[in-house]
Order: sequence, then C-alpha cells, then structure tokens
Amino acid sequence: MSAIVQAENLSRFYGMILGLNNVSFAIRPGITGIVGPNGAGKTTLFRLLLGQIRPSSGRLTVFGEEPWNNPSVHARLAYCPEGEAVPAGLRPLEWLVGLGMLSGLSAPEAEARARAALTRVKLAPEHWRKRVTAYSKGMKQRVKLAQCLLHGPKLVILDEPMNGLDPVGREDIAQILRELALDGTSVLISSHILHDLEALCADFLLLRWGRVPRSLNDAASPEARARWPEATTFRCDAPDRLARFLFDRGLVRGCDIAADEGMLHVRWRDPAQFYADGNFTALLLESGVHIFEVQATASFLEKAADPTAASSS
Amino acid sequence: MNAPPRLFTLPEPVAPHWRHAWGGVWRLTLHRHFLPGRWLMVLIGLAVLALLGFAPGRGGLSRHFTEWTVAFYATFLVPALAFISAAGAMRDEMKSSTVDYVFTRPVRRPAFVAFRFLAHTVCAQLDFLLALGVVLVVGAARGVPGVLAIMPALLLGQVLLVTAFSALGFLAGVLTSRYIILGFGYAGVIEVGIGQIPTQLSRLSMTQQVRTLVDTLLLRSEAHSPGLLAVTGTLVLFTLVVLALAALLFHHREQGAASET
Repeated sequence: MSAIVQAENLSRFYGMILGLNNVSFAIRPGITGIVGPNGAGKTTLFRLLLGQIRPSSGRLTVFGEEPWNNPSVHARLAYCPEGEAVPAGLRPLEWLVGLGMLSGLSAPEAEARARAALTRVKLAPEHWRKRVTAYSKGMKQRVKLAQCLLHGPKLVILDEPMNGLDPVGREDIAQILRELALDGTSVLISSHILHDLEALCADFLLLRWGRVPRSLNDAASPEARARWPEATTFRCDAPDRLARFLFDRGLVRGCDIAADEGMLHVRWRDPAQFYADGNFTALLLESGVHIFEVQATASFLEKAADPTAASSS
Repeated sequence: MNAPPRLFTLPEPVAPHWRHAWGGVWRLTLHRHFLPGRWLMVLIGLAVLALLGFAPGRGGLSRHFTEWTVAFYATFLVPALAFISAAGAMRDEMKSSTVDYVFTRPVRRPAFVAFRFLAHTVCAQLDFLLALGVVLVVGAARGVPGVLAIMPALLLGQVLLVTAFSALGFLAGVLTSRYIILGFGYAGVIEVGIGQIPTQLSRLSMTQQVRTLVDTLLLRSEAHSPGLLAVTGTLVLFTLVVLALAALLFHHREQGAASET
C-alpha cells in the first residue's frame, strides 16, 4: 500500500529551538496515531503537513506533492486544531458555510453539508443558534470536527480532538473516525488519551524531542503489538489475595499492591503463560476475587509518551 | 459483536472554485461586520463625530465647517480609521482562529488577501457612508449653507481614501502587529512631511491628492490642480501597488509558527 505521507530527512527549526530533527517516515492509509510527550514535535509535524510552515531541510510529500502553499494538497486535507480559538461572533452554520465555500462548495451545497456534518457530530439543532465562542469545550470540539467533514477530504488531521469530551463524546468521535476510514479517508490523530488511541489506530508514529526513535516505533509496530503485555493492572476487591494466588502458580515476577485503591500491578514471568490459550478468565474466576477491570500496564504508547524515559533511536 | 450502524457517509470531494471562495470570504466578513457589539462601537463613534462636528466655528460660518470636514474629517479621521480598521482586520486573519481553518483550505493566499480586502473595503465604505451622513446632518442642523453641495466631492474623496488607506492598513498588518507605529511613521514622513512640501513631491501624499481634488471640485483651488481622473488614477495605482505588496508578503509568510514549542 503506497504511503500518503512521506518524509525524508525532514527537519524544522525555529531559530535555536528544535521542532523536528532529521526524521524519515512514511504514513500509510488508515488511522494513524501520532504519539509523544509535549514538545515532541507533533504540532510542528501537523503544520508542515498542512503547508503552513516550510521544512528547514529535507523533504515532505503529502499525496506525492509538497504541501507548502499548495492548494491541490489543501483541497484533500482537513484539520481540526487543538486550540479552542474560533472566530468571534459566528454561529456554527454561518462559520461552516463560509468554510465550505472556501473549499469550493456553492452556498446551498455548503449549507446542506454543514447541516449534515453538525448532525453527524451530534450537536443538537437547538445549539445552532448560539455563537460558537459561547460553546463549552466539548461542543467546540464537535463543531471543529464538523468543519473537517464538509469537503470530502482524503486526509483528516486531528490534534487532540478528544480533549474536553466525556467518554460518550469520545466514543462518538471515534465512531466518526472509523466511518471516515471506511470511506477511504485517512486519519492522523494525536491524543493524550492513549487507551482511546490504542483502540482506534491501526498504526502509530511515535515522536520524542523532535525525533522518531526507532526502538519505540519498532515496539509500536503491528507485530510487536500482537505480543502479550508484559505487565497487567487489576482493579479488584482483594488485590493482596489475587497477588498471592498468582504467585502460588509461578506466573508473577513481581507486583505492586495499592490496597486502598484496590489495585494490583503485576509483572509477568512469561506473559504467554497467563494470556495464551484464552483460559486466563477461568484462572481469574478460580481465584475467587471480584475483578472489576483488567488493563495492560504501561503500554508501548504510555512508554512513548513518558517524557522521563530515555530517548533512543 | 455487530458493528454500530453507520450514521454518515463522507460527501464527495470538491474542487477549489474561486467564485465560491470569494463568497465564503464575503460571508465570513459580513457576519462579523454585523455583530451587535461592533455596531455599538460604531454608534458610539458616530456620536463622538457628531459632537466634534458641532465644535468648529461656533459662529455658524460655512467656511469653518467646510474646513473642518475637509481638513479634519476627510483627510485625517477617515484615513486614520480606515488604516487602523484594515490593519486590525488583517491581524485578525493571522490568529489561529483563522489560520487553522481558512489557510488549510484550497485558496491561494494572494487571492485570499484580495478577497478579504474587497470584502473589508465594502464594509468599511458602508461605515464611512454613515459617518458622512452624520457630517451632513450636523451641517444641516447647524444651518451651514450649501452643506449638501459639498457632499459629492467629500464622498468621492472618502471612497478613494478609504480604499487606499485600507490597502495600506493591510500591508502594515501583514508586516507587523505594531502597525500603529508603522502608521505613525508613514503619516509623519509622507503625509505630514513630504505632503506639505510645495513641490511635485507632495503628490506622494494621498491625503494631499484628495484634498486638492476636493478643493478643485469645490472650485476653490488654482487652475493647475490635477484633474479628477489623475487623482483617481493615482490613488487606484497606490492601492493596487500596496495591496500587491501585501499579497506577496503574505504569500511567503509562514503561518502558525509563533505558537510552536
């Protein structure tokens, strides 16, 4: 499958400040998560992809073309920024119709598509008469996503679109992004809500300090993600009893118990011993402990987003 | 588990269309122009203008009032406000609320500058038309004879100055966020400095050009004053050159780089 985004030795500096430093990568069609701690270069990458800034060196292509000041690329892109800044005084329909027309739609078509997009992001029509600046953060996120749906883009870039949304809202957005992917639209998404990204994305690009660390990206590859997690967190009513049960069966290399929170963090001796064959649910039932939640601890994404971890390439 | 039902199918891709893009810029400008808060400011401004209009020549002499309208209103207030308003509009277009949504769409930046200038200038002309109406009403209320007769000349001068100084404001707005300082510099050097030198050099001053034109139309100047077409041509040329420069600079300007970390 050919890449929609291709970067070769791409760098971007702001004077002495590093944005991206000599990175090379390819992004394939589908939903790709862009992950990294603050200052990793995510926004720089997005601005380069959007053609708002130029590379300091190296080459970046989107759909095979350089995006800087290139309307042909812009016609196929949509962008949902992280910031909450929206034009003062405009109502959502007014704003979306204006933006739709800027993308090339006629006024009636822009209005029809704006209505459909606002409906799809589940912004109730009674809110359409309010000005966007008066919206809550979650409602602004929905309008910002709606403006991405107007012109049938082939690549949608979303910077922290889940911020300010409750779990239902986040699932709504995730569902829209899945539908976009089904329509053949690629999605690049950054988010600090890592388990949402893990559930949504087929591929990941991990950034740290302006670099694309190879070891982290290898760990994030689909093959690596198919492996069992090396550590697991349980939320249960008797974490100490569950720990003893797992230790007795020789499954555990080490563990941490937070009894007051009902949490048990377990590091497996061999993860496959616990997870493989799909009989771990029977094992957990056998323990007699009431388990409320099972979650892989410190996933590859969490490691990648941890700014204290040593950088490696 | 079944996948949830699909609620939305992405519409067909759309090709860029310059006429629709112009319509989009016009709509976005117009909606912001008619905000209630903005109109409150305009009304306050018009009230202040009316108060100022009653100040000069309390004796009711028509010469004082005409001098005030030409020297203060037409060649100081109108250019200054047109400049500030246009520069502010251009700076607004460089905020993330525009950059992230407008400049990620398939409109060439020089075309955007031209569209935005057209839309802004039309709206500004409407504002200044109201202001000229206030001047007319004040003149009539003060019983200035022939106030209606000077209106066509003032209107022409106002239209030309609003257009030219809006273009200058766009250029200053593209250049710097401290456009007021740039405006003071321009006004000091060109309009007040060179414009007052009694040679051909004074033609570099746009307000001087318009003042001469208005004087000519009011039949108050010397026979060698430049004609209507010459002045109009000069101001249009000035507008086009300044706007082209603004569009060129804007085309090469990186957007959103300042917010980077």
